[in-house]
Amino acid sequence: MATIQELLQALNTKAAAVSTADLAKELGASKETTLTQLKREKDKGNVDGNSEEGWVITEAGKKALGAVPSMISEGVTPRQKFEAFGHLIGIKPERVTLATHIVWSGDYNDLKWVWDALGQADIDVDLRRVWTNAWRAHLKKGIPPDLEKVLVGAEEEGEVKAGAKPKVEEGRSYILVDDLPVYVGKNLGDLIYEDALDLARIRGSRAARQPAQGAAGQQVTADDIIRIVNAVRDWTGASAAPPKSYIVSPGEEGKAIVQEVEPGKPLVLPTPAASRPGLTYLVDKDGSVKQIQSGEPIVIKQEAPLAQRTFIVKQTTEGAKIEELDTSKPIIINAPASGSGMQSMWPFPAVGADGKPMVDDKGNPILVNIEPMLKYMGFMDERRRSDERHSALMGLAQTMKENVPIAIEAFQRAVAEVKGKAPESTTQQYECGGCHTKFTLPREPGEDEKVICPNCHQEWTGKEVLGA
Amino acid sequence: MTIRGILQSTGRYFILIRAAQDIVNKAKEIGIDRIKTLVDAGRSITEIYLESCSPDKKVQKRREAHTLFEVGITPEELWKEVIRRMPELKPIIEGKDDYIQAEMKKIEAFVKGEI
Repeated sequence: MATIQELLQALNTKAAAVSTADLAKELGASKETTLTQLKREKDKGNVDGNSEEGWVITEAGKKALGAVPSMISEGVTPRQKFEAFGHLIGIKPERVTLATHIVWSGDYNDLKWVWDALGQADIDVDLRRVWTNAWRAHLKKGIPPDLEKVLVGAEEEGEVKAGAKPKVEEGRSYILVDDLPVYVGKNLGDLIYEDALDLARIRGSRAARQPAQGAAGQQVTADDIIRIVNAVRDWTGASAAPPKSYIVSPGEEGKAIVQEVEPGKPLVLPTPAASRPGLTYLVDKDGSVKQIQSGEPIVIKQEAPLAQRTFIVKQTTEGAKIEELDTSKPIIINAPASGSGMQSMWPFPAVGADGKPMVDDKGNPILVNIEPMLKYMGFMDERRRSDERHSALMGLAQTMKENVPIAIEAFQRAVAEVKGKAPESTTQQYECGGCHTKFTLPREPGEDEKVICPNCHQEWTGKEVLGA
Repeated sequence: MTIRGILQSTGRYFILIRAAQDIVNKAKEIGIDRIKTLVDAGRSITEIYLESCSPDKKVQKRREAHTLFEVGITPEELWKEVIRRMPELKPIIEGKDDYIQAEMKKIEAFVKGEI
């Protein structure tokens, strides 16, 4: 349930009578409770009205509220303003009330509807035109295209047709909407065309300058400069004047310098600070840093590389001797005479896993005698060759052993063929005593060895076979 | 006949005898009883032998057969030489000319690479 103060406050903000239901909904209370409170306040004289016509706050109620004057009391509600225009024009009060009722039955912000509604109230055309234009000015709206003819008038229509520049009207016929001049009817605006145009340019240039002023102290970007130049060009009417050229160069503390280029006059650009020669330093081989003055020469001394030491290994009867080579002297190699009895054990430098020669503690190369290994490898090669030679000879002998009897037989048969006589077979043939089948044996059987006929399988002793 | 003709004839006999001897050695490996059984059953000894050979061995045998034919040795002549060196085969194949002809055709097909 809302308090009496809240109830009177809600009524005080209303421009017209409000129903019980709407008031209860606004206060968040029930309809019955709100109605009871309203009737009680009506008895006190703070509110007036009923459930059918709605409720309004009275002067006593406003005093009891002790509140700020309402829009109604000040006479500044839209309806009061509309009625005030009618009274000022000189229309009778009852006709003003009727016309306002009709207008408020629709959208009073729609000028077309306002024009039609005033016509329904039988207001004369001249008065309708003035009333509608006054209301349009109060709403700060332009003339709708549908009402342009009726609100501006017939004689003006003729001027529009004859004039070369119909939009440029004499008199205060323009207002500014979004910084652009808008024609609202002859002598119905606030500005003449030239003033409206100048004011629009000034406001446009001010709007263009505002971001740059807000960014004072910050770096000026190229876009800001271009915007300023364009704004200045628009404001000064650059379309009629010849175009000007500007050069923007970086200045101190990140700011930009804009210079206008005059035709026929050379422009000298200042050298950027970044291009000035800086300080030069030299870091020597010890790592110390030294500043070099301008013009001072820098001399870098190249040290001679360390000479490589070369050693010669001499094989003597006492063993291998190592001597360092003097590069200024020739190297003489004494070849030993053959049969001198000197061992041919040439030292071989030992090489490590990294592929570099191995050295001892004194830096001398380590030498290895590889002759025993070479002898062993030679022995193994000789033995392998000997085995291969033996195998080849044995294979050849086996082939000869197999083929020589065949070759002899082939030769004998060839000779017999020449003589016209068939040769005797060199293969020993045997004949079974039972079935008389001739057969051969892989070798000559022994006397006690059993021989079986391949045809009748009768067994014979070797002695019997050989005897037959 | 000249010496050259004798040498040529000797070479021809050498090839013939060696080929026949290889066949005889193989027949002795198989055994005369098993050969008789196979022949009586109509099974081709040539096929059985070739099935047991490796591809390399087949190539070698085909090359040897080509050599035989190049010097003018016919399958019949080779067969006679085999019988001459292994007379116990003769009673097994006597009267079986169809079998021998079929074996000869199989040998020719093998030499031509058809099997």
